[in-house]
Amino acid sequence: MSDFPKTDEAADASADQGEAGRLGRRSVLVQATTALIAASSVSFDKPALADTASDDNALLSFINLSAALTGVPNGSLRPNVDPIDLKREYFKFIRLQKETEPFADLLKLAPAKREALTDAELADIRGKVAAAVKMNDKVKYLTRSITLLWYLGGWYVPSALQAHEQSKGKARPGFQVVSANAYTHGWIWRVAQAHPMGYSDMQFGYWKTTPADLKSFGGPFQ
Amino acid sequence: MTDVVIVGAGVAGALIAHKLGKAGKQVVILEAGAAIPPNINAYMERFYKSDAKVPESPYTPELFDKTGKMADPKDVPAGRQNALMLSAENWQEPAVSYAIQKGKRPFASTYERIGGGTSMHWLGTSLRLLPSDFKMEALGSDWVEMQRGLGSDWMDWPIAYDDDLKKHYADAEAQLGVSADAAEQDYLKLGLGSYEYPMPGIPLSLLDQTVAASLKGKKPESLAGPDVAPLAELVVRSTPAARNSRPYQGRRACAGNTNCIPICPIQAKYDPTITLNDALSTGNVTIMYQTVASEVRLGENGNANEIKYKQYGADGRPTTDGSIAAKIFVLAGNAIETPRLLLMSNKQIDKGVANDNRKSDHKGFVGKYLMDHPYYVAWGLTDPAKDPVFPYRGPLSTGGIEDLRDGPFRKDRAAYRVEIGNEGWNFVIGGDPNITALDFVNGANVTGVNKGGANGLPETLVGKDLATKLNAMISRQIRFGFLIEQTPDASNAVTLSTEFKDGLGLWRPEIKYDLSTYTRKGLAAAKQMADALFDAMGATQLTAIAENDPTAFTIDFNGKSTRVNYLGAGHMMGTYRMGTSEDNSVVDADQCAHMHRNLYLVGSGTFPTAGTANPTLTIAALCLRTAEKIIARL
Repeated sequence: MSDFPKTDEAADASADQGEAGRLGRRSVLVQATTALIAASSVSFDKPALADTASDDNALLSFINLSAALTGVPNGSLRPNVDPIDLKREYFKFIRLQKETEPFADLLKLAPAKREALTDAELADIRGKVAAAVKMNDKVKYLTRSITLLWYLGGWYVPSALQAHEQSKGKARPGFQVVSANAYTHGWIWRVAQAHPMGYSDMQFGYWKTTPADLKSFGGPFQ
Repeated sequence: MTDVVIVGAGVAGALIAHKLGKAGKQVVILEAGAAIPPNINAYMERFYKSDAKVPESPYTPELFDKTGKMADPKDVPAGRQNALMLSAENWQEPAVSYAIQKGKRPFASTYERIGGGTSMHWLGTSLRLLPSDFKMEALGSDWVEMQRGLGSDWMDWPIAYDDDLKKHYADAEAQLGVSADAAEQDYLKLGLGSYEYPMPGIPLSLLDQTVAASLKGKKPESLAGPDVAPLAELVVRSTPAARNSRPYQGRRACAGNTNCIPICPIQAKYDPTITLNDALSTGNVTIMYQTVASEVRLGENGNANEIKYKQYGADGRPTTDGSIAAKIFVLAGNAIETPRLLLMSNKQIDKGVANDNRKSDHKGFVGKYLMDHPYYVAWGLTDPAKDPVFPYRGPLSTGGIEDLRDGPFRKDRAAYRVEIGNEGWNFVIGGDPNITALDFVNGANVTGVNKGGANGLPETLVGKDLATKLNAMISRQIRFGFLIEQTPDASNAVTLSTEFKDGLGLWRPEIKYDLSTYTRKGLAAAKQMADALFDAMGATQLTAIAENDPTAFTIDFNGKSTRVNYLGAGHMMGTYRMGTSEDNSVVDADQCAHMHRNLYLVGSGTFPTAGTANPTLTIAALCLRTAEKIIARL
């Protein structure tokens, strides 16, 4: 059985507004991560700390889910030194968007693991995501929104992606650039072995020679 | 009293102001748009966060209003054409398009009204016009007459390349900071000799090198058509550019941000704010922003007496009206806004200032002969069996094919130059790499390359498959641009709308625009060259022309039915042309109005013919020359 909300439940969740809505989504998240916390045998002295740990674990799950969707290694999405901290910016951003109700359940499909994911673990996540996607269009287009967010730094509303696909690309979806950092750190530029247009840290004349290999751009991709 | 009032703080106005300020002359600049921000990051931030990354994205006025809709030009105090106004749906829609377009085809170029002007978003290409470009009448009086019969009024410039303009080109190259190697640029009788550009040339990109290798050993006529037969070879030359190849004027060497249009984040590419700041630093130049010139007033002697203006506040609402007097006036708007101002100045004389009002049967030249370099683009993918070319690296363009800018074929069809692009499909398919990513993530095939699924349907990829596919596709993207010379046709004109006003209550410009057969043949020749270039490279062409594209047409050329379209190059020229007298032109070789001897009209509106060089360097050379003339008079 899928844990993903059925359409009616999703509609109820999206109808939540303001503080009540945020609490609603938060409670879903806490629910979603409870099993993971139990499994990792972490104990908490206070409920407030438990919430923080839950968020941390949910964030790890988000990174690992993102790695499975994008092909970018989880270590590259969560570098050791990360002043930009897009992972957290995106994690917070998604939860505030419309049509993201399945997000909490999606996170359950990826382990809250800090270490590098093996190919088998990635395949396992992708398998679970594929199964969930088959069951629910909202999940399908949300996974694509998340993928594009990492690649382009912009948010495409899931229903706009649905319209785009169903119209065979004719209904071009608008998108919102999340922040200047989101644009300049979009993975599309690294996958292309290039740099964001308007943001180069290279030196004069670099363009006359072949770029460094993909490892230098956050790869190899998994 | 103010010595000189300049209208417009773009490259023309800034260069003249700087030269006059250095000579101790008192100058006031009226700039319609907003001030230059204290830090370029204000522009960069707006660019990064723009969904639609068009040439106008970093600048004001904002493309969208607070509700997210495109601003209605009737509410904008100093409007301008932008790229979003040119779609098939928008170009004739006055609620969207600032210019009222009533011609057969769209005039497809855009501009800025802001401190720094349109050269804020220029590419930086700094080619000189060819000596032959100034002397098109050399093609023969019969040819000139025949062309006139077809509506194209070719005319020699009243100044020749080898006169003092050549030295002013060198001055302009020093002012703007041009990088090029003279030996490589000494083609088609440019006569550079022992001249040295201010900086060494910009290195060729991987794509430039690939194209160059593909051209080697091939006869030009096999690529560019039989009418170029006398040409010995086609080579890829590094494009002269106002882009630092080493530190210059206190600015860094280019770091290859691949963003010359709309904005270089480190000002390694020249922009006019550099000169404008130098001008203001002389202490003799002041500037009034958000100040829109609305009328040139004449004195009893027929000379310009004062300029009336309208100002507006941060909220876009009109604030004050005023006027300013001076000894000399310089109108340094562009080829749309300057004729608009002249035509708006019709309270004292019906046909407007600088128009020929003496003869009842003479309709005047102001606003006529509007030209652009209609711009054909072709794109595709390199051969997967060969090394990728890795676009989105380096300046937007570093190399081109220039040897087709002149030849005997100019008797029959327009010349063109080839620009090789380093930014993949960025602007040709509406904003890549986003479109390619969207295709493969979301199962569409807008790019034409996502057909690897069952029965040729689009694939939807995730994970490593997605990353690998994006790498393979994007690293092989190529595009070529072809800039075509346009004929000077009196019917291509800027006039005043009688229906639509801007946010200050001033009539908006109305444009009628079309392409002559001569120009359309040049586009067809370019299209055929593009096809041959893809073949020579073993590349796959994916160029697509939409069915409802208002710029598209089909023409027979070289025995082939050829369908082609065009974009605007941003090169607005010709609406106050220079010539020998008021019988054939608006200004003289000094860019002084024949009819008002203290009124100068500068910028590419003075070009009587277009050639194939982007106009900025020639604008700069002519302005530096004009500044000397003004200083001598004061």
